[in-house]
Amino acid sequence: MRTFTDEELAGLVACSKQVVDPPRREMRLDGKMKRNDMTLESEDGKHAFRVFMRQSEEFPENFSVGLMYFPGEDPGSFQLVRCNGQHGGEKVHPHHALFHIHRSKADDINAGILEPRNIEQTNAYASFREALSHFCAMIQLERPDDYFPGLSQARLFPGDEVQL
Amino acid sequence: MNAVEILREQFNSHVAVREKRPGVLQLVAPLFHEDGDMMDIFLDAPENGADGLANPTQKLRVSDHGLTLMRLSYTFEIDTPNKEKIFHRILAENGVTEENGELFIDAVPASLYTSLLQFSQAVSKVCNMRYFKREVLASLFEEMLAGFIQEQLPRFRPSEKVLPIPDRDDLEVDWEFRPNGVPLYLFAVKDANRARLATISCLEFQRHSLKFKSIAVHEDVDKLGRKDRNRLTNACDKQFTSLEEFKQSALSYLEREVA
Repeated sequence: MRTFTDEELAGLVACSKQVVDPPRREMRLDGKMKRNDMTLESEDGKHAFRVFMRQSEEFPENFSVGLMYFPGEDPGSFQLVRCNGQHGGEKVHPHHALFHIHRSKADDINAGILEPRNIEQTNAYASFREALSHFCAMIQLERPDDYFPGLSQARLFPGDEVQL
Repeated sequence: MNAVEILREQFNSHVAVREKRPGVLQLVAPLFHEDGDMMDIFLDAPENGADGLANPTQKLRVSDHGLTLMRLSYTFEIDTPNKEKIFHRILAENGVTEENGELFIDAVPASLYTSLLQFSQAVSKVCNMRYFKREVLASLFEEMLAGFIQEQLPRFRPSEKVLPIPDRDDLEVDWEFRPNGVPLYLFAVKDANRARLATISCLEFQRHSLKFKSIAVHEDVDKLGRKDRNRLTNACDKQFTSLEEFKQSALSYLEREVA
């Protein structure tokens, strides 16, 4: 089984990516959620990714934008990073609904735990649109405005650092 | 005591609620997903509000407001009849109802605690459907094949991991059978690399003038490219296009080899 280092995982998040299968212009309603997806590959064509975008129809503050990685061998696909909105809480801040980012750690992946268990609170966004903008910058998506018109203007406070 | 106070007592005070929307209370309880997120569980207050909460016979709705299927959809889609069947079986076994993507269970205040745990268990099982991803199941291919061979084909004397040319440990055969005097080598082919190794092995065995027959069992023959498939077809005596196909035909095939 292939093993990873945290540096490799960070490199996979930060490498420049282009769209292979574009997202829909609009999120589509599926049950109680709105959803969109797109397929990406690294600029050098060596790595395959999928981005999922989800937002609760009833609770718009509850959303997720995540990056899946497909290594093409064991341990199979896993989430590299996921930007979450405000849902009920998490283990680090169980009593507070905070915007937060999940990241996978190499030790977890190498141990077969394919869940992004590392959680950090973030002030980088406060809405789905801002989160998507932050996310696209974080994963180095090429020409995001082609797929999400006006996205680069979505962040009201663009001085916030993008953490790679 | 109203329903929330009863729940707090049942939960040994390890629970809190906060208003998500008017009439919708979000549960803050030590019930977590594997990635550390708290489970999204809500109590929908009855339409008669505080009066309803205080009524011991008034049913309350424990719901996820569609957030379980939203979470599952990050990595897994319920998009085939079989997946639908498993999904609905999980719900039925846990007494949970689904409507338009929302999971819920109705409970009276006295049984709210057990209903919540039952509901959280159903949420957990639904989220665990992600383990049915094709790539996860594919990694079980060799184990499932081994299980079938050991259980159903012992009379053909199967041996695992055989080296027909002893000094060539790079040409290992997954399984050997002895239905008659001639060894029958089985290659488990789950991807293009394994298809190429099976092809090379068969050609090398022929080059060394070994007496043998060969079969390839594919995890999914359609996953192979045309060139890999053609090379293997030319080198190998018999192929089964899938594990299911092998399971259905292996016994009669080996019996014919015995005859």
